[in-house]
Amino acid sequence: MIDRTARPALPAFAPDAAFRAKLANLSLVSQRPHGHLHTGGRRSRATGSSLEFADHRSYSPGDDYRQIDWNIYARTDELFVKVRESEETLVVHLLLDVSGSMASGAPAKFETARAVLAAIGWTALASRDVVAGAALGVGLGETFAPRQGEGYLGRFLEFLWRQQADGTTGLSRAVAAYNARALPHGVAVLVSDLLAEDAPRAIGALAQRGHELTVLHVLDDEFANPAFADEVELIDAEGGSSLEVLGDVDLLRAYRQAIGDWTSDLQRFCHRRHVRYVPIRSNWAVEDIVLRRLREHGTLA
Amino acid sequence: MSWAAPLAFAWAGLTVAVLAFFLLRPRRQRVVVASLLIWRRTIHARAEDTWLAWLRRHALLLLQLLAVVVFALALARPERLAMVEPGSPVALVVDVSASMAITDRDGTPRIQRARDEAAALVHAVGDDRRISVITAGAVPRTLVAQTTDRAAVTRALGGIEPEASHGRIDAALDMARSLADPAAGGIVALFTDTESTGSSQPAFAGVRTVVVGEPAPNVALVSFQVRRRLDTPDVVQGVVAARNDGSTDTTAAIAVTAGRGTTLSRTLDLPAGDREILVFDELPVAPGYQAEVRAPDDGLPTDNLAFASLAEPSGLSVMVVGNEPWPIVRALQAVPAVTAQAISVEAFDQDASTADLYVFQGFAPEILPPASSVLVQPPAMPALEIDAPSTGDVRPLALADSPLLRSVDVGDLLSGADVNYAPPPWALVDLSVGDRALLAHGVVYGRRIAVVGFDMAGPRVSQAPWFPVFWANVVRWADPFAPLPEGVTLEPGRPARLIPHPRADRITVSSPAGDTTEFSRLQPAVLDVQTPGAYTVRQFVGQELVAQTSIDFAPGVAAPTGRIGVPVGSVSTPESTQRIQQQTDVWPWIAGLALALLVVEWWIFHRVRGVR
Repeated sequence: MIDRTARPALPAFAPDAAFRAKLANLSLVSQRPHGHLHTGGRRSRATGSSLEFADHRSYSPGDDYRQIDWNIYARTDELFVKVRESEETLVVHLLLDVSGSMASGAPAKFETARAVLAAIGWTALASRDVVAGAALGVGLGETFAPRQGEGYLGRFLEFLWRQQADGTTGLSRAVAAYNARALPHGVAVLVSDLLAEDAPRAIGALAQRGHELTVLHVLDDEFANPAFADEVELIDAEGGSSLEVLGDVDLLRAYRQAIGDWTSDLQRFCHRRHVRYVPIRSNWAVEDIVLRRLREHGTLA
Repeated sequence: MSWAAPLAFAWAGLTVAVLAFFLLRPRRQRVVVASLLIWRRTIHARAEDTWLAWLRRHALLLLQLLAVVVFALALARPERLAMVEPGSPVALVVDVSASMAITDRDGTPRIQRARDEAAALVHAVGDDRRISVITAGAVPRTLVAQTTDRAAVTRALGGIEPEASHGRIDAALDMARSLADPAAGGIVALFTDTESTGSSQPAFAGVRTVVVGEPAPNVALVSFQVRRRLDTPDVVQGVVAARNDGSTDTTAAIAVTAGRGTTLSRTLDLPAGDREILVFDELPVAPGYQAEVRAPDDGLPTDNLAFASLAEPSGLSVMVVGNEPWPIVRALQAVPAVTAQAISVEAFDQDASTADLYVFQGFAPEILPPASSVLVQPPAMPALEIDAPSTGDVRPLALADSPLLRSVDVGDLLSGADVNYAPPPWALVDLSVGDRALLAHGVVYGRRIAVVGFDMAGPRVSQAPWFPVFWANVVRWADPFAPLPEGVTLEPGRPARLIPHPRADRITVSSPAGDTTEFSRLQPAVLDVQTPGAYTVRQFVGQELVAQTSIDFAPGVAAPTGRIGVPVGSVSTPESTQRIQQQTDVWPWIAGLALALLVVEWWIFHRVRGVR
């Protein structure tokens, strides 16, 4: 059931010291290079201009004189240049579904979703990753411009807590608009209930953009296991459309079966596109989701 | 299939109420959900067949409507015709004579005991038996005939009450035998208090007699007559016959009262079952006489009274109009108190004649005189619907209990000069030849008319020994001053039609209780016997009293007796193998179906729909 009157209080995300310490030791897993050789917080397969020494090689004309290792030259009279490792900057895209359906559940799916994103954003910023964010509603909502460094954590949290779950869902349209911003691809985390016919298309678009995508599929227990008797008129939280159903045992059993089929289809869809599919419930603890589920699925390490 | 109560289909109108309750039911609960996406998929996958989905949604409503309709069907009491093999028929004959009103020493009326015994027999026999209930009163009546409806039998038995009359058990048993012939496997059971109904009599052959009542003393007046003494006409002689119907000897006191004055009493020893006659010689002349018998602990006082009046000669004048009147005149002159004269057809002057009875021989006047008439071989009379006479030599068939043929040997009637007529619609045929009447009598235009087809002048008839008897019968029946014609049976509770004198314009009937009912000329006069006693009928022409008749209604007698008979529980008879069509109730099955529907509705509501 949706309580639209509930508004989160700022700051809503206040992890305790132990959780913060654990978050500080985590980082987002990127299994392939994304080619952004800016100064970042993580090593790259490419060599670059960082402080980390990688190897020596013979001097060739055109090499940077500043990289000549004069100590070796003094011992061997040959010119060698120092080869240093390049440090890659990972762009982390944190995408939050802000459609009206996210407001349902106890606690609301929306609250759990942005708490999880806050924790991931914290981890990313602490790891000197570039964090970009966007609210996905009927279209592309407010965005959080790519920022790097822990100093932007506050702004990121403010960005998250400014969002409200309201309106209809236009997930694929919003993703298309986000992709059009030409941000570097990287690791993307989408937190959504995926209650839209075009949710698979949106997931496919993000994966095709080159992101290492993790979909956090958040559902609430009331939605997954409804319990009511007699005839009821179901009102759609987003569109206001209604549906009269007779809450008999057979129908509820069929509904639960449909939920299972739906999530299985989504899981298979994600697996085919190398997208991590992480089903979560809104009433699960954020620590459990971040420290256990996301680590089990390889999103965090 | 037929319907015993089709009006009950109106109950199906309750379906409107059910629909109204459905439409006016509280609005369904509204539940806001995150999305209808999965719900629509579920409904779509589940409701490929829309009518099935509709049925599932409205299952309770449909069950309720169906239950109401089925209940209405049940209330309409559907019946179906089925071929069944019935059990042998049973006829219950209940004696309703006056003695059945006796309450025995244990406080139970005999009629109640008879009803209980009959009901016990009904319960003892199988449900497939067709049962008839017959009352043996003055007129035997069939209350229910060959029915398997036990409720109807119980109602019939419960409604049986004793009558203030004798019981014609023989006639009732004849009726019962026609409904349940013991020779064909039927059962005839008689419930009576009369010990004399032994199985040795032919009428009781095969009848199972259940005697109710205890031995009780009962004396009854059998007959009471008065007449003037021949030697001293101013003195009246009364003859009283009394009988002891009880099982013990007793001494009875018999009193005869003349009018409202003189009372003579005698004491009489009456052994059990004996009958004695007493003669009271010194009674004065009075308008009416009453005889009463008394005995200690008499169980049935209603048969202790009798009434009589002097049968004064009415001085009936008879005119015989014809060409050969003398044989008839001579016969009429032999009838006491009858003055007969003959006149030829040519000399007959209707306006100048004032006879009480006319005999028209081979002749019919244009207008019937205001008197009774006997038409001997009349020509065609369209006004009386008498056709032209024809002849025939078929052997005649006589009506039993014909008042005109009492003590007459009809075998002597035939002669070559007999003629017959088509029976007039107003007449009762006394003697018929084929489909035509040789002798008939009836009342038409307020007159008693007899039509005689046989030759009254021929020597074979006029010299027959029964010839004066026949005319005496005719005079007795045609006496216009007697309001109750011969042959009319007077029964309690059944009004008898009185035939006033053709000239009477007013008639009154006084009951023993003193009530008087007056009938005008235009009203049909009836005598309704409700209580035993003497009824007085007076006829007036203007203010002149032209006739006064005392009609004594004396109740019959019946004897209290001891209990004999057969135990009803041991009745067994061979079954009939004849199959008959019988109405079978179907409504209990339909009512059961309706209840089952309600149970299913309840189960669905509480067990299937609910997610508690």
